[in-house]
Amino acid sequence: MREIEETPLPGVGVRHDYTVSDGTRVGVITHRTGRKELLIYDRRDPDTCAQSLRLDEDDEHTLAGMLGAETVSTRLATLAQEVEGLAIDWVRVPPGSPYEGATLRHLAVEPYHSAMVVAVQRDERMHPAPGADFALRADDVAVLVGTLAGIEQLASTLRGDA
Amino acid sequence: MILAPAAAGPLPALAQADGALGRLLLELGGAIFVLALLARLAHRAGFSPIPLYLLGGLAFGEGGLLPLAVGEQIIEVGAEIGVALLLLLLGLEYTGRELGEGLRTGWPAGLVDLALNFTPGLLIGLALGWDPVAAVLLGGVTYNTSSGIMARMLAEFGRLGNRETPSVLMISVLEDLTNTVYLPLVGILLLGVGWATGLLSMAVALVTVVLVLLAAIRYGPQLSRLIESRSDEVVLLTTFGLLLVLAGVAEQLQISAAIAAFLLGIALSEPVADRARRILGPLRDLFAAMFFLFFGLQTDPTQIPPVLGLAVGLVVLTTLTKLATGWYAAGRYGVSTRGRVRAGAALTPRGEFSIVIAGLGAAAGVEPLLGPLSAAYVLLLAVLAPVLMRSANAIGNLIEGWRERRARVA
Repeated sequence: MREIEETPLPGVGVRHDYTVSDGTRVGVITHRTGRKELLIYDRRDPDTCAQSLRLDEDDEHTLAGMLGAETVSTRLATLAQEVEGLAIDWVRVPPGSPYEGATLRHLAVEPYHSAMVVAVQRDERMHPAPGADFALRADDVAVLVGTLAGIEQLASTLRGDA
Repeated sequence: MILAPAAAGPLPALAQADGALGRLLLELGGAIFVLALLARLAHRAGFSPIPLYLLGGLAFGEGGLLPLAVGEQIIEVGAEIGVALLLLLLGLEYTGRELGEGLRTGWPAGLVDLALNFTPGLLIGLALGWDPVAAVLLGGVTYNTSSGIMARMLAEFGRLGNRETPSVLMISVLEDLTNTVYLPLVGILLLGVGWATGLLSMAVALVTVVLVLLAAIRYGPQLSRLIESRSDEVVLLTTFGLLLVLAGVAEQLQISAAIAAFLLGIALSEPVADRARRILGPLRDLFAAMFFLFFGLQTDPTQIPPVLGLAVGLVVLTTLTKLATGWYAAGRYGVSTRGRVRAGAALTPRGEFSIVIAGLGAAAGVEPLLGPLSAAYVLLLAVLAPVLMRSANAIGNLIEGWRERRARVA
């Protein structure tokens, strides 16, 4: 990761920027409304934006997707909206959960055929499609996909309140 | 009070008088349609609608091109609400953290801004032989950059991401802070008490403001929690009701509603501030438009030509002082010549605050020329500021070229 500089813009929002390996400075303004603006600075005059693009939410997702960012969860959310009967939920594995330290294989032997863990978010990083040997830790956020009833059952098992 | 003739009965007699209600609605609708047209025009041209509202008011008011018998009474009520909403949202514009951060890191630039831009208005007012209170008001008119017009221009010119922009926004934050003291001060001055009592009441006002601010920092979260609700409707009604009650109390105490509204805005904190901004924004747009229209209606356009020369002089002088302010403020951020000129250009427009201050003076009747002069001043700057914004880089290049030549000669 390159070093990102953060600059508060009072009344507007916040600006993040960094220098790309070819020397151009690139930044993003996050407006207080949540709207994003992509900035590309002038190479000769680093004080000036050569180009600033206002992005709507759709633009953001498209751009992030093109760059291969960690958009698994949002894409899944869209998927769940598109596929009828498919639900999605996020569950945090609490410390002391019976499945803390257990692998996903362990979870799969349990009779939960109508839901499964499709991704795990750990320390801000997303691990999409974790293998059967993937061991859960406390404070992992598991992304579950399946039927509504299956997800509820799986979620309460993971939380340890079943 | 404004509907005084109707207030005799238990109900306003408006609805009872034959067709009066219909006429009232028609007039109000007509006025709002005119505003809509002006806003559309401004939006298409890509600049702030405020100057157009003012022009509209001037054109349709007494002595204007097309004097309309608009229901001025109802517009006046709308205008009063507009001032309160305008000032509430100006107070809400920056979070407490941003205000504190601004004061901590930006105070030298804030002082330069105050010294350079308040003084010309004050001195010119005094030189004209105006009442000192009117001179203090004129100082406020020349001091306040319009944060609304500025933000719009920065976005329009794609300069929000530029390196000079934080310094420009910082100036705006500090002006907000200065106004927490300036507005109550003006309120006291406008009460028209003698200098000795004036100084005493000023001290009282300052203490009050400090107390309000401290209370806002200390109890702001509690106040905000009182207002907070999951329903937008509840937040809207609570905030709007609180605003009007406070404004009414302030008016009863003969302090302007604007001051109370502004302090309320400062006192509200996140997350309510965020929601109030979003929810009250459209309401503000409606009523503030009525305020600017009303200010134009109240200003006799035949009074403008005599003060035009003066207004031009004031514009030239205070444009130079704002350019100097921007130059200094951006320089502190290590921005180069062109960016420093751009910062100054962004600071030149005056708008809502200047008109509100002039409106306070007009309501108190301190100086008949203050209204027309401020209107002309804001209008001229509304035209000049975008031109300056556009040519800022060229001006910066000129300065750089000139410096290089001088360096070569030396």
